[in-house]
Amino acid sequence: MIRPNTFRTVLGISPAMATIGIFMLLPILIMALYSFLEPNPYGGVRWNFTVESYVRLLFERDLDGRLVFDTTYLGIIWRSVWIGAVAVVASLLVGFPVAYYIAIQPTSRRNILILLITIPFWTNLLIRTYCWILILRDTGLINNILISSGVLEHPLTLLYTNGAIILGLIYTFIPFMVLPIYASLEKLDHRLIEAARDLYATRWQAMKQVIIPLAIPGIVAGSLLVFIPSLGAYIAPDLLGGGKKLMLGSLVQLQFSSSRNWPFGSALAIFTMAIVMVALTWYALGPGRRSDGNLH
Amino acid sequence: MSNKNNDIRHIPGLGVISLLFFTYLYAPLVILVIFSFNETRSATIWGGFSTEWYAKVFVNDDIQRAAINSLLIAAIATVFATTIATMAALAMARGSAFRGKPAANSILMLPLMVPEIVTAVATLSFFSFLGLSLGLGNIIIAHTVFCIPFAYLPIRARLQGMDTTLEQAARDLYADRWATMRHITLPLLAPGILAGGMLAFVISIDDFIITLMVAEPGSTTLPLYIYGLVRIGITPEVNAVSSIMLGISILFVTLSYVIGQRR
Amino acid sequence: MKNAVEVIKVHKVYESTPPVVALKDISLAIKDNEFLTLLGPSGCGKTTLLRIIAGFEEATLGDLRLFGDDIAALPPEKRPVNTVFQNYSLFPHMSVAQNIAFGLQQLKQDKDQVAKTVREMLELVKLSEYGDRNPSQLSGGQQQRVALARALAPHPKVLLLDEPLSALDLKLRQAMRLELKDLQRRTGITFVFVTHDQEEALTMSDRIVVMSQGEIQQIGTPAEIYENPTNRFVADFVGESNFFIARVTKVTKSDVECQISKYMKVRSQRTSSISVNDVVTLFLRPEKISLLADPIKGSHKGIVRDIVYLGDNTDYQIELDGAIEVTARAENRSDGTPLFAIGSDVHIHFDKHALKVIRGEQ
Repeated sequence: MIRPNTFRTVLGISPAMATIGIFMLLPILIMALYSFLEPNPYGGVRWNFTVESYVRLLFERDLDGRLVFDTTYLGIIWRSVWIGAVAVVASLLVGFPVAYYIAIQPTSRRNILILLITIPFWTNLLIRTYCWILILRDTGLINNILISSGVLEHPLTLLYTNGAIILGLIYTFIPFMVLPIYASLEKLDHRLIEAARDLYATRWQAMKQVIIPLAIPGIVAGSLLVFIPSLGAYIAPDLLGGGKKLMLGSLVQLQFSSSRNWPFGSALAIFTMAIVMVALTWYALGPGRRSDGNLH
Repeated sequence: MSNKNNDIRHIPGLGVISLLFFTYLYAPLVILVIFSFNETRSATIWGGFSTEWYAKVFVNDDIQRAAINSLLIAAIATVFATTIATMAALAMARGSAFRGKPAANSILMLPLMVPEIVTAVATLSFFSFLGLSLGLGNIIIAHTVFCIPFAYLPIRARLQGMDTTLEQAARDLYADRWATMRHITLPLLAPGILAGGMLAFVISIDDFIITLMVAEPGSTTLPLYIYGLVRIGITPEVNAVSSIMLGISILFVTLSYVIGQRR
Repeated sequence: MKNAVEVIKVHKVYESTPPVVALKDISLAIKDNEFLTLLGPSGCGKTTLLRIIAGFEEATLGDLRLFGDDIAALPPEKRPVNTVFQNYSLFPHMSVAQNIAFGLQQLKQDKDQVAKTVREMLELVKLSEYGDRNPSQLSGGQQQRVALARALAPHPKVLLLDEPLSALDLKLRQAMRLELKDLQRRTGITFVFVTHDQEEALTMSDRIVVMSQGEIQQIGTPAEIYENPTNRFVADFVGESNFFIARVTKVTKSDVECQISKYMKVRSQRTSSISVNDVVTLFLRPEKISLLADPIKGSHKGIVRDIVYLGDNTDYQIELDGAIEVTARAENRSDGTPLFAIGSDVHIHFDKHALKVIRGEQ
């Protein structure tokens, strides 16, 4: 008989487990360890145990060394969360109609449109973000057109704003919203809509009562897939926010580069991961369990 | 039937929204490519057609060094990641249901779940903890890890779409486990492996954040080089290099898609 | 002579939650050179049994012998048994000829021998012109023949066929039945054929094994299965039947008399171990009932309640004694009209041999 062999199975996945285990899980553990050490002002860490990095998330030491409640970092975390949330909502508002439109196309056309949505995802994030500098900056395309056509006299400040960051995030992550929604809509039996219409539902009632409820798993998955990378984004805040408007991702990067505070950076990274894990766990226990589609 | 207005599912305005959406998605890329052929030094004011900047790119030693680094890293990481992913996919799709299977699946997907910046600084901490300094080797290791799920997913999908009775038919016709693997499974899986490999290659060659954190001086890749230029100022050379990279990515992804679709 | 296949007390349980028992203590001897059909509804275990013989699945308990050799522990490639799969499972990356050659190459036959056998096989299934084609370029019926040729090429001791005709349309299916039966006679290979289609089973088989819920219900020739089903399941699954639950009122040397309703008694042939006051199930095929306009001795009066036109025949729903419904089937008149109209009186008559007692109440 054909009996799958457990030894061979384990042997087959062990290279993957070892690679990811040693070069990803272990590094995360080491980083977690670093977050409890003292920073070395020349980079790296000093081997003294302390929870200072976590204290710094909420407090600041004044001149006398006393802890004072401080909202600097909390503010950045909050900014990251709401910018991420705005990106999610905007992506959803644009992404849902697009996903629905693609889902009702004939198969051949559908495949081409899906390819068109995935291509930008596979192209360089840096370059895609850079394109927006060409468009948004003071001497960029939009301002050029508006000034030369006489609508404006002085350029609008478009670049280095929250709006620019959000625009960049939506631009880079919207395929993550469209694809899962499309996946759940594509499976949707169009006879359900016909049945709803047959039973005297209007177009909008059918949308509200049949289509959207069935697309919920896709909407939730898409929202997570936009939210998670937005939270840890580095390029968009750096290039389109001018590095002044910090988000969690850029704050982490800063600690490991010019600020040379690896423990604090590690603590922030752990914190970022914690938010992601909470979101993923919620998904896995709630909406994810109902859909047969995976997050990826 | 094909008349849109007769389709009960159609909602007015969808086509317009979608058209605007695709314009939003592609216009910036088109603008970039157009301005890479701009004659004047300004990156955003049109002054006539020229291929001057491309010529400059091809004689720029720094760019060439960075390009070679990028290609070398991507090629090696792709081979490692694709091999590892193929073995894992075969084991997961065709192997026995062992106790740790769900956990193994989560670990395979881990590089997709953890925000890239976290992976980047964790890997940096790890290398500094070990004092590991292998030049390009560090980057190759980091790239291999996060390329694994990207290579794994198309291979796994292909395996799942593959009729297991084909393998049973081979066993029935006196082919042993290895002959079945060689004559049936691998030839049928080849498009999936190729598609996965190409995606891994694109992911590696495009990666910025992890490379930024892990790279040592002298190990500059193309995205790092472009980033350096962008921080100094917008120049037409940046547009030209970026357009080339864009072209490579689009080519590979389209190829990977076409191959993956093949029966 | 040795049996081709012996299935001895095979038990199969799928380890799911809750565990599913697919086969319960199946014992079966398949004779050499016979065309044996495993017949039953989906989920009855017939395909599982076939897959256990092929070696794709392992029996939880029990033994498996092939011409006397114990093969239970052998992988499929070590068993001189080949399978024709339900969806054909032709290798899509190989030509028709390469598909047929595959098994022979794995058996390390020399090139000339392989080429010769492939030619013979292509001829056997009437596809000589198609050797270089890709399987996807062939029609369903042609793919079916390639699958047959591929499985027959290594000249297996037993050929297993897993619902091979289910994907074909009706006309082709009927033609393939004759071809299969003919192929089996010509090659002299033992065929084990799985189907849920009773007509297929009746037309092709030397013997039929009727299965239900993981158990063998009856083994017999097509005529035995049709005429003398041993239980209600077999009678119901193969062909159409009327069932009556009755109490035995009189037992004579050759006959039994049963009360099937308040005022109605029927006579049937006596079977062993039956006594007065037993509750039994009687069964009667619709085509064994004669419909008469006028009463004769032993006939029963009824009213036609409904008719179902079937083309050559018509089914009549007849109410007897104000309580019992029977279905009778009769040929139409030569002008195509039914013999009786709805609401008309009718008298039914049947031979006492046609009414059969099957065990038990259910």
